[in-house]
Amino acid sequence: MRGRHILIIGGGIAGVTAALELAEMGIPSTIVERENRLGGRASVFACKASEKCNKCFACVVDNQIQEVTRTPQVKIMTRTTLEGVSGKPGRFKAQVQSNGGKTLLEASALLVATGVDFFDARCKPEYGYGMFQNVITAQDLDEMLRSTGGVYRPSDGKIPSKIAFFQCVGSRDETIGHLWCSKVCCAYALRFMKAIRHQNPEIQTSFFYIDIQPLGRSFQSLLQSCRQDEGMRLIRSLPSKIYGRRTSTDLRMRFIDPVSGEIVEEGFDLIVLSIGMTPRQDADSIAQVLQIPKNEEGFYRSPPENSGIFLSGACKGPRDIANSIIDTKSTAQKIIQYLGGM
Amino acid sequence: MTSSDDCRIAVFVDHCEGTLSHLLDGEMIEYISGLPGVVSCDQDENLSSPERLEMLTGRLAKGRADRVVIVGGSPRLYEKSFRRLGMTEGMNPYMFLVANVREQVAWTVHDRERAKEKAKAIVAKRVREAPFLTPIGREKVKVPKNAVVIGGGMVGIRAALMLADANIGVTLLTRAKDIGGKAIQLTHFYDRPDDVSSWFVKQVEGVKRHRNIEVKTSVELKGFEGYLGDYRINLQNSLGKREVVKGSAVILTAGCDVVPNTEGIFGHRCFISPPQMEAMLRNAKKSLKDEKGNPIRTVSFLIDLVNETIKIDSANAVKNALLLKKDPDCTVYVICRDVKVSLDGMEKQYREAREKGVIFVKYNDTPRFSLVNGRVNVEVKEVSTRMGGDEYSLSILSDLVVVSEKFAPPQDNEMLSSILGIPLPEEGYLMEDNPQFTQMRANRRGVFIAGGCRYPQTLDEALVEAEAAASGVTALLSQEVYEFDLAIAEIDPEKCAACLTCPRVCPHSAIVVEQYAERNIYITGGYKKDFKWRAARVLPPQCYGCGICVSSCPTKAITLKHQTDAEISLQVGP
Repeated sequence: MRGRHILIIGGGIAGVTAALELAEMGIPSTIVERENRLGGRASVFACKASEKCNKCFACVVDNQIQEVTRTPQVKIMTRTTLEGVSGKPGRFKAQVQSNGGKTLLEASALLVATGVDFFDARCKPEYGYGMFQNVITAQDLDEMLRSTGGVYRPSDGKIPSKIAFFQCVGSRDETIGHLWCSKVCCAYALRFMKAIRHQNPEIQTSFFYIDIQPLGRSFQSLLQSCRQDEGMRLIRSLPSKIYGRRTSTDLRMRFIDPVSGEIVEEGFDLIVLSIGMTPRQDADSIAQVLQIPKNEEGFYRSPPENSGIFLSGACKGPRDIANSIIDTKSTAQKIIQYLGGM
Repeated sequence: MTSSDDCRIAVFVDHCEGTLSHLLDGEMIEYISGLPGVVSCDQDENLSSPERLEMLTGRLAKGRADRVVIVGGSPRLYEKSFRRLGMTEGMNPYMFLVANVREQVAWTVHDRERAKEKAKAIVAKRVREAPFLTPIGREKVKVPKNAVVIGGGMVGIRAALMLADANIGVTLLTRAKDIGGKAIQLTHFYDRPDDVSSWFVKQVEGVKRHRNIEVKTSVELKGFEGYLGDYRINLQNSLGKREVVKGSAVILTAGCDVVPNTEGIFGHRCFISPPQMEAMLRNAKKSLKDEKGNPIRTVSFLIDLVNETIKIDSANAVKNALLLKKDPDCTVYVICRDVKVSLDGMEKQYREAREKGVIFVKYNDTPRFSLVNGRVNVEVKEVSTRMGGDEYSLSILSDLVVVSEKFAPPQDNEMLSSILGIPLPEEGYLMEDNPQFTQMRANRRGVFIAGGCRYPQTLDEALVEAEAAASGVTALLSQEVYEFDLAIAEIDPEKCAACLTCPRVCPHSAIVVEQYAERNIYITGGYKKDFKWRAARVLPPQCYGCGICVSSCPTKAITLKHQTDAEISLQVGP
């Protein structure tokens, strides 16, 4: 086991889990994180429990981050970026830059866990994100829930009475060339609705979707409980446009009502866009440094097993926290395999 | 208990980055310093950072204190780093307590005077409790590098291969005559061009050739006992011969049950199951033909009837529809509730299928079926064509309808759950110890579950789970020994009545009842000479120290070493 050291690029949930998993196997590692804190995308998520836990895994992220800062085998370098890699598989020399200073790190293997970007909802101007105050993204809602503990209309701080969730914003959309499903957003939005309705049963929620995508073990019961709730409407129809006025809180839209088959117009006072995941904007730079192949969508594909470079988490394609964790554990085992066992 | 005169308590006051400063002012520090047994009282801005804590422990050594009370936030902030520190400082890691004035006072009591009173009471109780602390030792169990994988399907095979490559000896058990499981029913992967059979053969051969893997076929699971490092599995082979297999850790990989849907009209020969479709596609030359040699012109895939939230059917239907569409004369319908595209690359295939002319029909209400001249008529309320009214807007006549199978929890799960002691919730799939924090790790230390026995999943997902479970085992077996704190329950055999309450309530199957001595004090009239006195015993490596057995023991024979009754009554008392 001596002399083995893994360099983990990215300190999100995948990178942090990898470090912990490797530490348990007795392999030290260094996490290189570009931001000034660990956790990445997942660290802003709020707990979405209703009367019971809805398995959103937000608490796991907090737990893992606390854990990793207390694990002596893991060295954490925040505000650090990867500049270049030399050497050969098994004996990499990675150059990293932090606070203007350059350091050379030796590593037996590299683990890339750079994650994803969220889709920029401004690229779909018809939904008016950035123009209408009360059109927000699911991530905005999450941050709101985490920091204030409740749901409020950004325009006047009042509790909304009717909330609409739009699915597939930035996913499954040929107009922007995104031909993939982000996998997590259906379950994510349904959990949100459960949490909001539990906190305030006065709020009516509607969920506009194309197809409901299952995710994970307890999805069936989640979906069933959502169907039974009269304050939650699941509508198979995606409105194409949001109409509103900058001064008014009311947002209107038209959609085909699947029950009557007619086009109806309805107003909402908060619209939440379930934005999808896209490959990172800087995905190319790391791909070039490490020569990682990419698939047609722009996510990373696994390099050959003998290259000493491993991938884990959402940089391979959209994934939720639970799957990122399982995927990372499996990658840790592949690293052990690569290093020739214990 | 040590009398409060003998023990030397060091108190560390954590201001939690200034948020508690209004509470923990000079008067408070004076009050704490005056409490009996307190030898020092130090303050800091943020003790939860390990470096600061380390600095303070330097002072601890100087003061020659033997216990520590931290006044500050939640115990979780300090526990782990303090325990590690305690070990290096030559102090027992369990000789410390936390007075949580942040959550219990600062966040809940707003009146300043009352808050101070409450904080004082909490700190005083903790300081009073400190003399009752007892040092807790550590113990080691040997963990030989071998593991048992139960289940010889693809998940079991992958887990065995991963472990074997990490130099862990594996015994792979299967009830079937040969390893391989259900995966061979597939013809093609949806996402890669390789054909399944050569991949399958490669995996199976890999297992058979690996020097670290021993395969046992045609064996039934009969019993399971032991603990991490020493699990013993009783087996029975087809000839009725019993044998015992040993392993340090266990991965359980049972698939889910897949039952063809043949109820009512689905029993007709025009309705087939997906594996039958796969077989037809494997054997078909150019276009599909029925038994009489007539070409099959229209094929419908009917999915989501039973399992609404399973994406396997959807992926298979799209994959097979594309294969059928290689014959341009064949009309293909996919009748579903939702098209599940949440698999890598599935959205593209779905679009490709639509471009090639596969017709996707979505329903909310269950379709109606009838037979017309030996063909099947499916009437659907198509969601996008329903312009008011309640009619069945579409009727699809097809030669062949592929009805998806029912995915059901494996019937074996009940047997596995009772033999291995893994909880089985209502829905019938095996449950991990904690579905969030310990995915795939079962309630017993060293036992992992992966694959279809957790919930129905695609082959790729299940294989990733197999690898992750293997990584859990590798981590546990990475050292020669597994070391753990003896912060566990302990049973006094003299008091135990062997009533079997504790083995039943223990969520980790950590309690066994075994012979203790030759006599039984509970038989007063008529002393039987050959009667064995039995008593419950805790298996230390299995115990998580949760305390459930302690609270349910009718004879109060069980104590929790790190949380004794005396400590608890001091916490809740006046």
